Amino acid sequence: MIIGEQKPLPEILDMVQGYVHILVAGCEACVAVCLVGGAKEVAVIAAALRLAAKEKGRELQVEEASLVRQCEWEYVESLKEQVERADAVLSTACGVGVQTMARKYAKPVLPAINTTFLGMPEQPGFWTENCGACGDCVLDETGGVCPIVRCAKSMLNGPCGGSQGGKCEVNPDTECGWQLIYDRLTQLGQTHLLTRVMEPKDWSKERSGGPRRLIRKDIYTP
Amino acid sequence: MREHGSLVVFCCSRSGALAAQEARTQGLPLPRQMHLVELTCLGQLSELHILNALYDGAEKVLVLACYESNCASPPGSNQAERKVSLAKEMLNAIGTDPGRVRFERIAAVMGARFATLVQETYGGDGS
Repeated sequence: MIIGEQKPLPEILDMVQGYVHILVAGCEACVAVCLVGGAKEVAVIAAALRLAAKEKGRELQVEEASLVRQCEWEYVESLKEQVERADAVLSTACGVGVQTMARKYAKPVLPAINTTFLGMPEQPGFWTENCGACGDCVLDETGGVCPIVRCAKSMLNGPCGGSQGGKCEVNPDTECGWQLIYDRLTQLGQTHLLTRVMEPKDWSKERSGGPRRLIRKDIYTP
Repeated sequence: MREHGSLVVFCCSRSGALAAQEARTQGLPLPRQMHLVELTCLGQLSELHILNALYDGAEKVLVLACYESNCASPPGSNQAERKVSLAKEMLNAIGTDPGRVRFERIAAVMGARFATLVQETYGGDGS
């Protein structure tokens, strides 16, 4: 899922300065699951904004809403009346949700969270990055462990000399991605895969090839 | 909970709420503008409750958790402590005195401690 982190409250307060009617809009998809942008977090941010305004004697009306997904037009469309009443939307969705909202409505849409990475929960309150969305998946060759993001150097034929005791030289708290790959392939009885040299990837499918788009010819009608 | 200058006390039904009852039974002085919010477990407490209590006019918020060794659900009372820290950080960011929120621990038999904590936090004469 998409993992995000709430922006520091002072930054959010700065962003909403000058507006008198704010809609705090959440999303019940990824950001709700990673406890940063669902209805509950919307309520907390809205409460903080209200209290901050009251303490400063400032007029501020705050509305709350949370959508099933803020990255799809039909859900975003359902907020029409609330958005029209507001001066600005403070979105707790990921960057995609913020941009969907911004394209739909001619109102300022402000991000309340920093979209951080594609990851999974390790423990409650602890997430790790697991997918680089590189557009050319090699997980079949690496035992289901992504060398692009689990290896600090994104090596396709690791490990490098900086792997010590299963840890990465970049950070002793970081597991070596290639150690994880080796352990996993050992568990699967597929260590023979490590004898193959992986060819360079087609990086044009990654973000460095420019903004990507995907067209399904069986669905898309120009 | 709507009056200005009031004290909101969030407590567990197994400790703080019983201590409050004990204080009343003993006839100990308690502020009139004290609003007790009894939770089944302090693990239910969210920073949202604290922010809303202050917004609704509470001057101070007192969170009374069980002692860790005496708690039926220690993760709950410890989580409440973390939520209070988070609320204090938020108040700081907002520019409000974080000292308006206080976290303490209490047991069911501690009626006198309840009265003392409430009076100290309220900061008034209890009238």
